[in-house]
Amino acid sequence: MRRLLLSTCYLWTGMTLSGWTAEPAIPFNERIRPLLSAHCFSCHGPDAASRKAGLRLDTRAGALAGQAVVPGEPSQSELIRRINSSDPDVQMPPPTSGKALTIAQRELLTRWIASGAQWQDHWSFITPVRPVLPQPGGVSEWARNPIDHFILAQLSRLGLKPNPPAALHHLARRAALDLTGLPAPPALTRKLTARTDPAAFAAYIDDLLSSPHAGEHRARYWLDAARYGDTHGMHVDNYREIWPYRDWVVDAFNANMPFDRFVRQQLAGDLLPGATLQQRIATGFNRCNITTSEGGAIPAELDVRYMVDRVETTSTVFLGLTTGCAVCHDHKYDPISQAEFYQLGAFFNNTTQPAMDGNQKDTPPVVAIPESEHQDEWQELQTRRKTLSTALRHDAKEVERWWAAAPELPEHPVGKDGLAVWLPLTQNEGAASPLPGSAQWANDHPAGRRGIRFGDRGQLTSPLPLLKSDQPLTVSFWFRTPDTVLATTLFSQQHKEKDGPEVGWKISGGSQGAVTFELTDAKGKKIRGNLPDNEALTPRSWQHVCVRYSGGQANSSISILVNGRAGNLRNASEQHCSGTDLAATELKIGGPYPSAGLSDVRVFRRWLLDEEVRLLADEHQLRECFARAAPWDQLSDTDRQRLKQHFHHVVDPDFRTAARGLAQTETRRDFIYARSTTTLVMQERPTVPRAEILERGDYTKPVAEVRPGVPTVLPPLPTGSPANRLGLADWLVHPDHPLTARVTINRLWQSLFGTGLVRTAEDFGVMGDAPTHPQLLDYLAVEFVESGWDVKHMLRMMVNSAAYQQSSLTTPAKLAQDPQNRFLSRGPRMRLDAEVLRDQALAVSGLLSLNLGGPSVRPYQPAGLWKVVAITGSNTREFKQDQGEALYRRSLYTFWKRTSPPPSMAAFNAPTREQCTVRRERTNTPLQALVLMNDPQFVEAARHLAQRALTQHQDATARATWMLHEVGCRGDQPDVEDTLAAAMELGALFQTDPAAAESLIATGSSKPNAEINLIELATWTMIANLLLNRDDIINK
Amino acid sequence: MRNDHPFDRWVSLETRRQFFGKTAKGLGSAALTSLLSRTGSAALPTPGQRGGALGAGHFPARVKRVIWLFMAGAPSQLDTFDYKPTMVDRFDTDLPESIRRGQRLTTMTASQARFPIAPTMFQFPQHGESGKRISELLPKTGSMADDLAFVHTVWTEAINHDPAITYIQTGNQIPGKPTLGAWLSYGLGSMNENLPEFVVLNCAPRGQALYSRLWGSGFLPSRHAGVAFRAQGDPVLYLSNPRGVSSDARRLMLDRLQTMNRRIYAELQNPQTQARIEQYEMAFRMQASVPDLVEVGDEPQHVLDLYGKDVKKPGTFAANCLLARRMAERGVRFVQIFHRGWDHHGDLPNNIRRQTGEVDQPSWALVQDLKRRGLLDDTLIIWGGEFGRTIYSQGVLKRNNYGRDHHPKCYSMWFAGGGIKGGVTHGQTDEFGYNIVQDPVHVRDLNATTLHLMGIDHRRFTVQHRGLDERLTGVQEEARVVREILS
Repeated sequence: MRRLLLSTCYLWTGMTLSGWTAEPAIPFNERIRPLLSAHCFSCHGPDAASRKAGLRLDTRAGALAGQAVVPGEPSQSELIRRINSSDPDVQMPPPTSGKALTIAQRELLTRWIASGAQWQDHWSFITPVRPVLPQPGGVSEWARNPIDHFILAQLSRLGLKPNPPAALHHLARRAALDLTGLPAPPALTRKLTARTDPAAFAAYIDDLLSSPHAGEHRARYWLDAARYGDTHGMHVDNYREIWPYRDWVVDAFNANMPFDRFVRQQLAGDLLPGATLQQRIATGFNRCNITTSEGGAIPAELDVRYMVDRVETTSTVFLGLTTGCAVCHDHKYDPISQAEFYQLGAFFNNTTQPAMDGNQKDTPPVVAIPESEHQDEWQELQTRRKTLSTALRHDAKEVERWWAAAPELPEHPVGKDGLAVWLPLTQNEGAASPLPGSAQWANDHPAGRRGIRFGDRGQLTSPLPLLKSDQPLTVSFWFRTPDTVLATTLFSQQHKEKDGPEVGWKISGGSQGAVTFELTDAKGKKIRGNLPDNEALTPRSWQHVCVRYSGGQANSSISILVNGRAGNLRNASEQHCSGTDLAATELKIGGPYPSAGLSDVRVFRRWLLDEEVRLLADEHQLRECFARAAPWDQLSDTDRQRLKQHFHHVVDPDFRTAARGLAQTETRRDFIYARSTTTLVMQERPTVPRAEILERGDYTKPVAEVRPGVPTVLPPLPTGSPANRLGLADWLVHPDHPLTARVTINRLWQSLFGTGLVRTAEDFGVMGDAPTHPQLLDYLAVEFVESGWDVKHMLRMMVNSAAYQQSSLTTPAKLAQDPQNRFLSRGPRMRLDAEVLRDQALAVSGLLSLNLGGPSVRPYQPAGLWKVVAITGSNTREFKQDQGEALYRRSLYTFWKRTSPPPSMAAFNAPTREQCTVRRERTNTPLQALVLMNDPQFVEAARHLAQRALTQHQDATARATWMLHEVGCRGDQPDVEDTLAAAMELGALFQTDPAAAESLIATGSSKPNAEINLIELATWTMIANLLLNRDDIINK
Repeated sequence: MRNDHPFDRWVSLETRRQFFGKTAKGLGSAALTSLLSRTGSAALPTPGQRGGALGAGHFPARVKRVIWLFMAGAPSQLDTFDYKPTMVDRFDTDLPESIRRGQRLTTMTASQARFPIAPTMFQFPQHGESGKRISELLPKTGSMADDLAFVHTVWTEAINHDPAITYIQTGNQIPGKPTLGAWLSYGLGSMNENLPEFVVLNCAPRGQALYSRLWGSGFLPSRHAGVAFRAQGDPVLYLSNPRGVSSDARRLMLDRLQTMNRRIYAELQNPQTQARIEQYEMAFRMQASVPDLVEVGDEPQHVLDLYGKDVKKPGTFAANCLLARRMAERGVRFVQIFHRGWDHHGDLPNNIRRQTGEVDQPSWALVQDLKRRGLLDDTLIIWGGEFGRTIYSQGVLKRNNYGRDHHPKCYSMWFAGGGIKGGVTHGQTDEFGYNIVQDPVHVRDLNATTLHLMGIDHRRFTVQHRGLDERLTGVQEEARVVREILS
């Protein structure tokens, strides 16, 4: 096969460069560069660091320097001397490299130099121009559109003839599966077969392309490339909410959004002027990478990982280049330097996203898509928030005047609004109360002699009015973690009726620094906010902790701040509770927890703003400031800041009113947010994007800073484009860009013909495969751009070609000359993708739900698969199968847990979606046979197909014929006969064992049709199972 | 043209062989019937043994198969194999800065005010002629010390579980590369007709997570991915017929299916159709051979006793060790058992007692059982996890209770079987078990050594992917075979 390819490439270039001349020039790109790159570039290529003897052979200048190559003079060329030498010290490539050249290869290099050593840039870096249509013999009879000119020209050169067109029924099935991922809807095939005019098939294609399922199918390929998944992908692998991005992709394809806009919105929708919600959702493309929150992970390391992933994905999807090699060093083969890799990285390195995903579904930045009942209010709140924020003005002069009047600090740095409990827990402060049990006054508080340390007895109590679960609460205190106890309840207001739930709220703390707030409503539903061990609190020391609950009745309504800074809460899953009364009991504080310490406890029945929490955390510094009473101009900036905040929040009535209003807005927003769909998006920091070149990719070894930029081998950023993601997107879809259109069109081709014109869809670089039909690729790329990046136009063109419409009959001659059908000597035939196989079975059975969009669903999968891999506490550890319609949605909507992807799809080469995939393998294994024969979803589908056959037809032959047609066969006589024979044999078997028949038809969660004789139903279920396993049904 | 991708070469060869070879010999229905006969399950000879990309390998192999007992979560080397007696006197003293050398810590202990030394609370009696000291937690392992080679100086760069376990399995911390088992399957092919080349057995669903990528095939064809056998339900996914479908019914259905598929082949002549016909027969054979493999009822009591009381509980480490032996007998090339729950940040003594209690006897039993059957000579057994644990305590420290954080700088593993020198300990760590003093062994070196024993030179075992000559031991990284533990 390789030999064959070689000669074809040779023939092809003969034509491009010099026509059919007797002595074709030796084409550099096709014959010489591959030799040099495979044998020489690893030491004499683009990578400066590993370059030997200062010689580079990837540029003409490099090769000519030092007379390695002397054009026209092989005998004077050092390269020729070296490759022909048998002296191991001289010979190149060195004998130890295992890359020896063959005699033919050495001769070729010699002839090339003799003929003048002509050079070309690598083909894919040259902007394509529309080639002239070849006119091979017979083209006018065969060709249906320009594609066929190129295909036929190539076939003629190979001495092959195209196949006749496929039978209409076969072609209709092929096109429907290729364009919509579903069998053809009966109405459309009826319409097609009823027409006899030449335009009938083209009209059928148009109908398929205008189906909303065409967008779903196209989206599925894109989501492989975008590495879309429903979990974070690493370590805890919790649920991640980003399905609105998936739906955006479906909608974009259905609207036939021009591909340049499609790219700009996904890469930089947030940076477009007046970005809409949809444009921001589109930026989920760059949030699909796998992330972690593994305890102990080092953020700086993760930031680099995420950046590298984004560069690699962008390069693979749009450029078809494998830039990943340049993380550690200059690319060995393609002209991409290590610095250029990090320049690309800089585009993505300016996000507000935290390195640790918090194991939460909505790792910021996100956008919320409120329920429809809240949408108007959400908008109003946004406006109100803006208005109030502008009302929070700081007037420097006013603060100074106030300070000059030597004010006194009130008892509470944030005033007394909403203060329900105040316990300084400090000797001689507040209301006198005895120390509980064996507690002692503390002597290690950072603010002097404050606080108590609990002993092994005793607890404090305080009255606290009844709280409702939809009301806000703020608990502020100083806390010293206990030495030995693992977890202690610090505050609780809970009550338990007999056999009822423990209603109320509590705050607990652990010796390793964990803090948890839990609230249980009167119905027993619980919400929880957990700040994990070793995260924000330092064990065995004092710190200020503030637990806030907004009244939003969701996990996300809880925040915990340590020393005034918000901690990153971890919650296994999102829970909600309802608005009920909580416990009408007193508040219990502390307990018999030796060495745990508390001081300055304040409970507010309002939600404090962050600035107020900071005032509480800084209370002791603030007090000191008041005590010193230094003049304003002698105060430090920090002190001035504290005083300002105090003045505004406590003394300034206008500010205070606005601030309270803002707090209310925030709590209401929070309520709506907790009930909204969220989706991950990109958001830029206000800083200038930058990245650091890392020695060997090591995040601890920055070498130099770089700004965003693109590889010099490609065109520069368009003039006027900003050096950010938007500029990057503009650059990618610039009409002169040599790669984006080619790479995209190649993937469209691959999706229809099985293999791209460039087989290595992910690598258009020097080490990638050369295109089989370079001119066709260029023709299509130019057509794509000039059509306004019209995806459906391109698909239509491909499917309407004679090449696509050929029959897939293989002959020994074709198999010998074109074994993998790279030259389209026959119609494309390959195994259906995982999703299409499942959707096809559901569709022909009548079970398929055709609803579009929405949260991902969990159809059947064998028990225990998630549990066996998941960490304790992961919210995707227990697989809970959905019921009803959710079992029969299109596979696009199946929940994708990336550390354990859907097993029946994984068996058919569906990727894990941990990283970008632009080309799936297509294997053929016994595990696939087991899935199609035994997976309950295929068995249930078979039974439904049988039910339809049995209710619609009474006669066995009619049933067999109908079922064969229904699954997609022609229904030839021998097939009908075999089907009938199988029905006889299986029927006889079930006749002897009705219990077995009953078991079989009980497969699946839908109930079997009780009107049908169970022996018959079991028999025909097996027949349907048999037909759905036919090779022609598994293939298109 | 550039060099062929070895896989493509192999595939086209296979396809050609299938097509020209088998068909040319007239693989008509008669031949097909005999090849795919329904009695042929476990008894089939191995003419169809699928070759690997390397053929017989680079040089004669010392072993035919590998069983890796993977302790996921990272066992403490300080409480198992790396004896540090002087630490007792340093109880609760600070780890000297000269030892820690400011090197990075996980963010779990980076903020600890102190790094107090936690000596192991366990005794380390001596064993065998080698006098190897092994923790009292592992008495059975100790009793075979003279058969084992210990390496005390395994190290890695990764400091957290997900990257570290991905690293040791695939040679790279970032997901996407093939695992050792996949490389072996790809390179050496299959030794059997009915079972996968690479099988994974999971046990103890507790503690740190696993990921299907840990037995994935990365950029190699996915048929080289490990097949995870399950303790619950079907041992291989979707193996059983639906309820109510007997083997006879399935055979009837398959016979008709194959008739139809042969007709499709006759019409379109696509070799893939033939391959599919064969895969359906292989699936049918697996429906018999896999239950035969996992049904241990035919094991005599004295063998079951070797593995201990858990051996009959599916999914336990003991049960999986027995399955591993049965797979070794049946020609599975690479078996990896993942035993989870070794991540002991706190309450280490109690946790590690449970863990060692589960693995000590079965690990020993596996070695003995293979030895009795003469299989140990051509089997490599590996025992160990993804990194080590710190000498200093995480959290509370008492003489009899402490925790240990992740420690990638050094940890211990053991090896047994063909080509392994028994009773040796390779590599030396410092007095604190914190740094390597002599003979570091990177996780890449381990993989290089495993490949070496299988007859493969890791430097020459490459696959071109996205422009790089990918290797299990990294594209450019150095790796060496640990010859010191080889016999």
